Amino acid sequence: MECNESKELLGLYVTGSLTPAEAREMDRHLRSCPACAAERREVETTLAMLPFALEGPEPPARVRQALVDRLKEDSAPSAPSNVQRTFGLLFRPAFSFAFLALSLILLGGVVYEQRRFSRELAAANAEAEALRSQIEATRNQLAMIQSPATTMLTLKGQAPSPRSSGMVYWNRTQAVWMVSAWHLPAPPPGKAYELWFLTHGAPVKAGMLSCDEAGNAFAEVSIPGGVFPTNAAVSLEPAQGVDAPTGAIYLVSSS
Amino acid sequence: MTKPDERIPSLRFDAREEQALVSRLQGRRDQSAFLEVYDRYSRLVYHLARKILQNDQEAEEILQDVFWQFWKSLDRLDLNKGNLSSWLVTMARNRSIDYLRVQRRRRETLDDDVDETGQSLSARTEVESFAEKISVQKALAALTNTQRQALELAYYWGLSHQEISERLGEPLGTIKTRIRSALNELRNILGPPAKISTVQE
Repeated sequence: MECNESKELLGLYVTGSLTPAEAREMDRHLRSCPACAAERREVETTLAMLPFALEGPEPPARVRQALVDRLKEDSAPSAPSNVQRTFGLLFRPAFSFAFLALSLILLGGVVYEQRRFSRELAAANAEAEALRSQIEATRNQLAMIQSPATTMLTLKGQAPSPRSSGMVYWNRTQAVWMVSAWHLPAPPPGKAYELWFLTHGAPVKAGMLSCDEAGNAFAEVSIPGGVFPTNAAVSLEPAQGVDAPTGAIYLVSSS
Repeated sequence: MTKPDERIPSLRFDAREEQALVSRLQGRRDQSAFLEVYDRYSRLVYHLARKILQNDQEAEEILQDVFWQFWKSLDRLDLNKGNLSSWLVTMARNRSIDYLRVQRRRRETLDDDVDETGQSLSARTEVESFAEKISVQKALAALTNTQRQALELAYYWGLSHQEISERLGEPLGTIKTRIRSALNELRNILGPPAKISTVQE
């Protein structure tokens, strides 16, 4: 995308009015063009001025009071955790001595088993690296959920399993859905859950959902260009997936 | 560029006030700083949610939700990316439009007077005037009706350019041009955002 096209579409991009494919192209351009990225912030700020022109009554005082109550709950000290209690114990004199003795034994073990320790350390480092990647991925997901551009759809359990539920976090700028589902029954052999983009036309396949033993599933899917979802649904289908839903609907977002 | 009347107070915090508030919020999670922000901007968020949702009760829910999200996201606040009011307005708009789409309670017919409030709203109350309101109202008045209509359908109704094109019966290219020219006009009239909030300095 060139800068002149980006300038043409910036307003529609900021209001979330572009197609997912156009929005993705804009994303790519804005990441690589500091001038257009700066202009995007300026357009956002200009648009955010529009509500200043609105008029109306004062917000009800009960909303402020409700927030004050929530702040009080939020700042109330929580009970010490098991970890805090354990560490508190270690600093008592009797336990400190025992802890020191234990540390020396462990240190001796490390000296005599240096080679084994090195191998374990390497394994631990690899595990830590994997955890760091996982934390980074989780952080990105959390940032997406908290983004002002993200909205939510609530998935409700249908007749085959009313206790099932789920959420779709929908980032309109990045055209991405993060889908969580809970309490889905274990699919029978040869079957699996499939996610659907519900549109004004026919449903469009969005990928398979794999459940853990508790029936919980998570998936991150990109919304293809030309697909304009309004809602989401999950149905039980043949394990390899199908192009159009044929099985029972287990979850559907309310509208 | 429209200069706000210097005798009329600004609603927004100036840059120094905003920086000081954010320091208190991020440094020691100062609840009184949070309430200062609420007292200043709750009306803005509430009016925006009412405009989009056309419903007082739902607007109250959005108001509480937006400020609670603000409190929970303090660590992510970065004034280099936009000021406090911009952050709150963006959040309120997205939440309201999401709510609107889920509930599908918006009138299907296009109302010619897009500034009209719905019947589910309580009676209008005129509130005190402030510099930004006057500036933005003047800037909007300088747009053509078609520019204003396209801009409001995108901003307050959350419609895609395709939907705006279908509703107005105009080609897609015309809608894109109209919104771009409306924005350019607003930016020319309002000027760099920081200058609007300096009327108290």
